[in-house]
Amino acid sequence: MTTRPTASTPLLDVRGLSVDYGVGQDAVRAVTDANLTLYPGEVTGLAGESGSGKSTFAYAITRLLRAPGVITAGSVRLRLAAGQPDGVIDLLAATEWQLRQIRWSQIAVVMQSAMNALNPVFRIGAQLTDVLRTHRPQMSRAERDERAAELLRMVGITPDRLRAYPHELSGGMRQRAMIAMALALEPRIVIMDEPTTALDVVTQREILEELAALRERLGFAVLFITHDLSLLLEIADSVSIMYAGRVVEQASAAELFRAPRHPYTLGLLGSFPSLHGPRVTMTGIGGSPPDLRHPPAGCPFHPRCSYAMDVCRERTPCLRTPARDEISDRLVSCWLHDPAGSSPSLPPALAAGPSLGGSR
Amino acid sequence: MSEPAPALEARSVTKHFPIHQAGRALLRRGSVVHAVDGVSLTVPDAGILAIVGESGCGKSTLARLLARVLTPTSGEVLIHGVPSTAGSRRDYARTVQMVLQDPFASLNPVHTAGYHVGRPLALHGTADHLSRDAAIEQLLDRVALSPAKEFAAKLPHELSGGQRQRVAIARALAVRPKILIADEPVSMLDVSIRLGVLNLLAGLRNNERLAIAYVTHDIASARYLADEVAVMYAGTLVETGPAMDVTDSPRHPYTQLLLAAAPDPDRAEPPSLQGRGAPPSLVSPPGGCRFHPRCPFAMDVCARQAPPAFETGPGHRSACWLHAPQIPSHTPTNPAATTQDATGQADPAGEPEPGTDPAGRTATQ
Repeated sequence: MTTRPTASTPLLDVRGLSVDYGVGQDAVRAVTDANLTLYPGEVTGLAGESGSGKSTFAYAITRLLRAPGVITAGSVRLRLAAGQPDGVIDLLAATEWQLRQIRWSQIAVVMQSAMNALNPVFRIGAQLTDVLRTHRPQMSRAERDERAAELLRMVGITPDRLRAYPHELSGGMRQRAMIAMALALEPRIVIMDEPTTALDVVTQREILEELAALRERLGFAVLFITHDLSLLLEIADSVSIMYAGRVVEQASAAELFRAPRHPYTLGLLGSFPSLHGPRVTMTGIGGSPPDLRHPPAGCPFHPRCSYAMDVCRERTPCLRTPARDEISDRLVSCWLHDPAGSSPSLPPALAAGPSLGGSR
Repeated sequence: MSEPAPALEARSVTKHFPIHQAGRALLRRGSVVHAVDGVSLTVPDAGILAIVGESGCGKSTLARLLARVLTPTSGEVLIHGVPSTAGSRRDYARTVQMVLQDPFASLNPVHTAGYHVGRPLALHGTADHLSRDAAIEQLLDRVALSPAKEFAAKLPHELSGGQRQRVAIARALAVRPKILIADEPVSMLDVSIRLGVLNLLAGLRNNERLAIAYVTHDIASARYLADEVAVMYAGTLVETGPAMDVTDSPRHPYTQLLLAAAPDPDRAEPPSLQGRGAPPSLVSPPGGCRFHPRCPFAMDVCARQAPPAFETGPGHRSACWLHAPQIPSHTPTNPAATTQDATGQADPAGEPEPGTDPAGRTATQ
């Protein structure tokens, strides 16, 4: 893990991003007012259940969202590399031409399920050099081939696999090839959408190790999207938890694990059986995620929340510093932590100090 | 054995799938996939056995063999001591029922939850026409889908993943089986509702003395739910034993690898994996122990002879030569090699290797 330099400015700053699917009356709000900050060289995790809007969020950031997805509000400010003239660019206002310059060379995406992301009728080598041919037209064919071989070596695949078709590679190797492809132009940000979900634990661990080593060497920042919070807490520097299209809590991985502030985070942490200690009965979270076509009024989590108060059913909380954590830079959207103090007593499970031991 | 027969027992069950590969010179005619090879295990009465393994290790094939969906190539499956082939297929289904992985695929989208649960009642004549509605509601209540009347009328698309899996479990319970085989019942569900389904299975064991074979790739959930754990690798069982014993002090190098690779937020530093690589091809699996090409502790004997299961603790068995009381005399080894093996054996068996047992685990115990 890296420590965040205090003076560093964010590489990517997402403010108030909202995404609808469809327009007019039937529009479904998939992402609401989501914020995210990514610092250079950092691993930021985005965790949430299926349908919580985490993939939509990532696609919106990169402007890869397809119809009927519509970005309705927000800004995505990307700080360009030092040599670039503009300094900061808002991706949501960028032209297609600008996006072409930024995608892959500045921001690369590793899609969910490499099985479908690789073209089955082209060899791995052709798919790797394709990127280089488009973005680095000055490179000769030999240079491209050499770079492709180097990329494969980087992720632990022997270069003879350049001649292989995707179906000739195992799931883990396909995922490695995808990562190699994303790193082809040495981007500063890599967005990984569930990169290891379909893989076995041993392969997953090997790929994560390789990723950590590559990041050490190349210094890119990672936005890691997954539903597996226990994995994220291990590898990420900071974590954002999404629920029903909203970011409900943002904190460093250690703080989030030791002292969750949002009842949903607490519930999620209580949903992963531990690998050690005595066996205790865990409950998970009752109920099921809301239907985004008919979201509940007020806080979207209140129907499943055991701490729900009257205010939760009426008004939606916004993401702010919790009342008791003024000094830290964590954020939570929950009325229990409202600085105005509408909650007289905080449940002990949500009030643990960050220095205390594990909360479970 | 003098004890009562276990609910479900597999005796050296083997399943080979023939490969039909016309015109491929690489594969000899008559090659087979060794999906499950010589697996013996028991599901205790009113107990949960977790079958843990990675994809392709044969755990789903084993589940199908136990459910008599597939017929073993050799070996037999016994129900309460009676061979599974003794009765008819229908009688077997009345005792052993299966819950499948994907509740989005295992329910017919055009039929209601009540219809799904009512079908086995009609087919097996468990409840007559008049009492069927009441029986359906009772079943839905048992899986905590209440109000049952309302849920019975719902179509699958109106239900969440967790609710669908509960319908699938209710359907399996309709014939009042003694044994439930659950093949990855929660892997398709959202994390926050997985525990609800796992707790439901635990409740069925506790309250209704149902024996459950829980097939999973998630060793943490096996530790949470199961009484016994059986770890599979490349079609063979490598370790069996009480769930807490197996996860807290894994004996087999493969189990140690699985545990080291599992996500664990308590871990202070990244784990070091011993035994990288991928499982072997099951068409031509390696001779001897199937883990030996990856195993950090592999000895000469491992490549020569497949290890039997050695007792390493009460009810805890590991199919690894490291745990042999002595390297077998019937294998042609010279005395020098034997002593060397014997010293090598004491090391990982007694004191786990520092790398394989992360510091976090010993600290919390």
